Amino acid sequence: MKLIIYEFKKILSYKYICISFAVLLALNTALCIYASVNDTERCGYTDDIEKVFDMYEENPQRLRDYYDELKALSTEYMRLELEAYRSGNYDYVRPRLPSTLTDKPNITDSTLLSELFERIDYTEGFPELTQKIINNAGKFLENARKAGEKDGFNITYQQNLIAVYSGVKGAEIKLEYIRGYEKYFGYTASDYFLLLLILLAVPAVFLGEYVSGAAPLVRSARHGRLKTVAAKIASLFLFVITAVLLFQAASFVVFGAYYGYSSLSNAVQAIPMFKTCPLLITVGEAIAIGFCGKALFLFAIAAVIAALSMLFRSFKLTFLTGLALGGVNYALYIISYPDAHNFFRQENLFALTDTARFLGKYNAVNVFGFLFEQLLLSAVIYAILFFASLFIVARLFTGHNISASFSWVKFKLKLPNFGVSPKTMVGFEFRKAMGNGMVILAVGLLIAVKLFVSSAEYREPYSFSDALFKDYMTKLEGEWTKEKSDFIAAESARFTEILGKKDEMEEAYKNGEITFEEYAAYSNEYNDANAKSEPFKRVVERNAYLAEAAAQGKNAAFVYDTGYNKLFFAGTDYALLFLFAVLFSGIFADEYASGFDKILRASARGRAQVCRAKFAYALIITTMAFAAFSAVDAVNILKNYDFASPSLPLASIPAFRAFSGLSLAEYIILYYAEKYLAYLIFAALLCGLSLLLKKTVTALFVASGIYFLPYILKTVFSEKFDYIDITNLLSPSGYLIKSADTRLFGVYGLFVLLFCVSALIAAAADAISVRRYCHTY
Amino acid sequence: MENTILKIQNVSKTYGQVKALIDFTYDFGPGVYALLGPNGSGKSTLMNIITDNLKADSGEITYKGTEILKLGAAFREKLGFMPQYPGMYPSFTALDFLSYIAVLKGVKRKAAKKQISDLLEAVELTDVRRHKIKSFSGGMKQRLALAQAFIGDPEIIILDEPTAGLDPKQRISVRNYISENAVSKTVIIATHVVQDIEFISREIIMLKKGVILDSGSVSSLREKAFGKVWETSINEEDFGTARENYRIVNVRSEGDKIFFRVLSDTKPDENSTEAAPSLEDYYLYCFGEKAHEAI
Repeated sequence: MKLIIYEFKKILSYKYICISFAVLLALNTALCIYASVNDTERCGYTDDIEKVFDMYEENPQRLRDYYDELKALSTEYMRLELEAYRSGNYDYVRPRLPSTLTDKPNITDSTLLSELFERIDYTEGFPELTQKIINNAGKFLENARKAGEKDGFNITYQQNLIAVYSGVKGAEIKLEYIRGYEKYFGYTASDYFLLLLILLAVPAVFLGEYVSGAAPLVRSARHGRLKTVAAKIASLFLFVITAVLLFQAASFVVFGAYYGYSSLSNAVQAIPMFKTCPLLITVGEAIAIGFCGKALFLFAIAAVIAALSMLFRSFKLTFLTGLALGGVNYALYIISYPDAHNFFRQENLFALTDTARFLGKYNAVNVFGFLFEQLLLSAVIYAILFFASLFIVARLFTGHNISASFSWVKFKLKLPNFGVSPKTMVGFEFRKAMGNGMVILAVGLLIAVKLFVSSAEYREPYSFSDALFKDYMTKLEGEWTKEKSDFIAAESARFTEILGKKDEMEEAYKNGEITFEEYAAYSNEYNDANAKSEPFKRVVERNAYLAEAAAQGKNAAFVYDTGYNKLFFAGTDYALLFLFAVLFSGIFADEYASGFDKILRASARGRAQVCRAKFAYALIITTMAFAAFSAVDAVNILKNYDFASPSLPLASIPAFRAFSGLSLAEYIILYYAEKYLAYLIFAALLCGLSLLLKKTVTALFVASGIYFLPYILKTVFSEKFDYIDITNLLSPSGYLIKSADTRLFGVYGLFVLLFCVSALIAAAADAISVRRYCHTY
Repeated sequence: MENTILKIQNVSKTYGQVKALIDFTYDFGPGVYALLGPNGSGKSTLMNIITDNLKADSGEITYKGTEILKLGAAFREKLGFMPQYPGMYPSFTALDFLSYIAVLKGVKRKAAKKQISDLLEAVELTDVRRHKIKSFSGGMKQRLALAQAFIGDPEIIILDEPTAGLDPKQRISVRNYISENAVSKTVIIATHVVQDIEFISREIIMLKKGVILDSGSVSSLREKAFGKVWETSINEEDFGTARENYRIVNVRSEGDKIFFRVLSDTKPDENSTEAAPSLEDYYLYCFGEKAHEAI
């Protein structure tokens, strides 16, 4: 027990762990507060609603009767309003429904009672909902049997559905106003903070002994081997539990403060997001299961990280590998799958720590046609990972190589040596970069930032206008034709006719020429047309544009271009810029700072060859980073946006009207190629300045000046500075269009000019600095 | 000079108003040469000019008759350099660091492996070869820096303060290593510690404020101190006065008497006896200006 306490104390003795813990916990809390404060749907009258629920409990019939009265009153008021319009009284104001159940002036009794009776419908409709699931499963089974389908995943899945939801059908959902829990369970950002904390803290648990030099001392003590390993694992468990507890508690408290919570003892199915939960548990039990699941899965991952740390014997390599594993899990978590039972969809780390997803419905995993319960399978997989990691850690810490021989199988497992020295100068440049702890940390944080920013920037668009536009563009996709144009015109005319008929219809109703029902039907038509007419203007404008293009002989087509616009007009990737700033501003300056420059320059290959090696390293890193960051954006865009055929002309998008010779696909290639070169130029400039100025901060300052000063001048003083704003190259579409409009030496003239100027600046910085380095002045 | 490997002619360097090196001229052949002088005498400046880390304002340095600037990388191939404050990569292991130096010097992998192994053993760092440099003590870093200078078996080795931060045993070890491996090489050691080079140097060049004060073999320089080194004794209460009047190089007390060694062109007093001079005595004689500056 004492050993465990000491090991736990050791973890907390690392200042960086404590600081990271505090910072991440604070960030988590701040994010919860931010989400709550900016929640436009947050109800401001929950107390009133709860009062109504209490009243219903006292006398349900009274409230039912009152609600019926209110509904009748609402209908009557609507009728009176229509009557007034019919009689020409356009100033008639519909009377306000009563507001006797609350002091708040803008909340009516009807609003409050709607919440109550919606809830009642939900509660009373629950058995029906589960029966529906059972019936659908039964129907599927019946059809499958009729079709002669053999027993396999599908059959077993449906059978399990029937069994599971038959058991859950009887869940007793108490009638109450449910609040707070959807927010709490829906908040998953804490999982990412927890993983980051584990990546930062876990390597210290075992590696700390080696780095401090205390390992020989500890390992030569009586309890310094297996018992110490056990104590370390136990302290790690304590750390993970504490972290999960504090993070979850912080979220729980914040959401509780803003939303309040309903009863913990209600069935979890009371919460809409858990209406298809396959377990008969309470809300409190769901919270406990969520907490335990999170803690156990993260603990298993912590064990894996510990094993990696013992294999690599390097904080940085362990952190990077852990980050890569986290990134892979995140990608598996967010991408769309055609099959909901896909192994990777169900078994990635974030799917398991996401309680809402984990408990939201019956989950099964399809492994080569066989069905495995998600909970059971994940427990087995993560248990295997855990024990395998434990084995590795124990064997390595107690001083053995990883070799195991079994009496019935002669089997030796030898792990490769990860402490491999580079062989080439470029290899050594990578080695140098890996050695800078702060740089590694900054890179990790920037990658995390990129993942968050990209998912936020490219989240699914929720826009009625865009949905309408998409609907029409998808129907019309392809080259412009007279028929399509006529169709649009007809639609437009239809809307105009409906909207224009308003007075006529009112008059007709006033005169008794049409019935109330006919007028109500027209009202619905009118509302529909009214909602659509404004967004439809976008379709009309596009049609006009395409008609003009067709008349001019230009190649343009109907295209749903929201996704393409999002892609082509994405802003500068500042995370990538900062990444390059961190990696390259010291690439040469660090040699001067350490004093190694003298040895370098006195060596046979320490001048031109070292410069070449450093530039080669910069080129490789730029390429990899650009590819990775672009891939992150691509995944998010493809996940949330639909894209029309890329073979369609680029000029289909009005902004690109001047580019009639290119297709969307060709422009995608050009776009990414140009962006890549632009970032490469930035990287090259940083490297050159690092060599020329010999100081990291100064190099960064000057590079920022070259890149951002025109941007600042443009923003503060005059748009004319946009012509020399090099950051335009990092997000090229806007400037390309400007170039086409300006027509300086053709469509691409201005753009090519700016590109060449920036390339020349970087090339000049590189040439001058390399020359100065290779020759002594 | 016969067998001149490195010839330095009229090399000067000025930093603003400060003349760091003035018309330095010397011929270096095989053997160990010591650049002796206090801080600021121009030793490091000369080292950096020879290794082409600094450009001389005037003068020429040739290697076997060809100017080193014209030779460029071809000259640096023959060079091993240990600067005064050698920079290293804290996250590199000793093995990584020497491997990197070998790559920088264009040494083939197989040869480099053997050389690295031998060098690590010579500087007693074999046991810690896989440890990161940031975990090394100052002395260990110094020894590693020395080892890297010898990778590639260079013909000319420039060592700027190679024994800084080493304990006496290590200093002797380094001294012996340099001596043993200096055969057929030109080793130029910059130092202000006389004992480090007294027994291994072929020639000593004494630099003062950028100018060669004197040069020659150890014995010839020592001889110049004959008749200038005295030993005398005095009562403890008179020591303060004596300290003001004489250039004292060594003091020891026995009972109530203080015995000290003095540098003086004339016999200090009737109690003084002439002592056999050491190189250090001559060094202090040349570089000490005020009466008590020797200590």
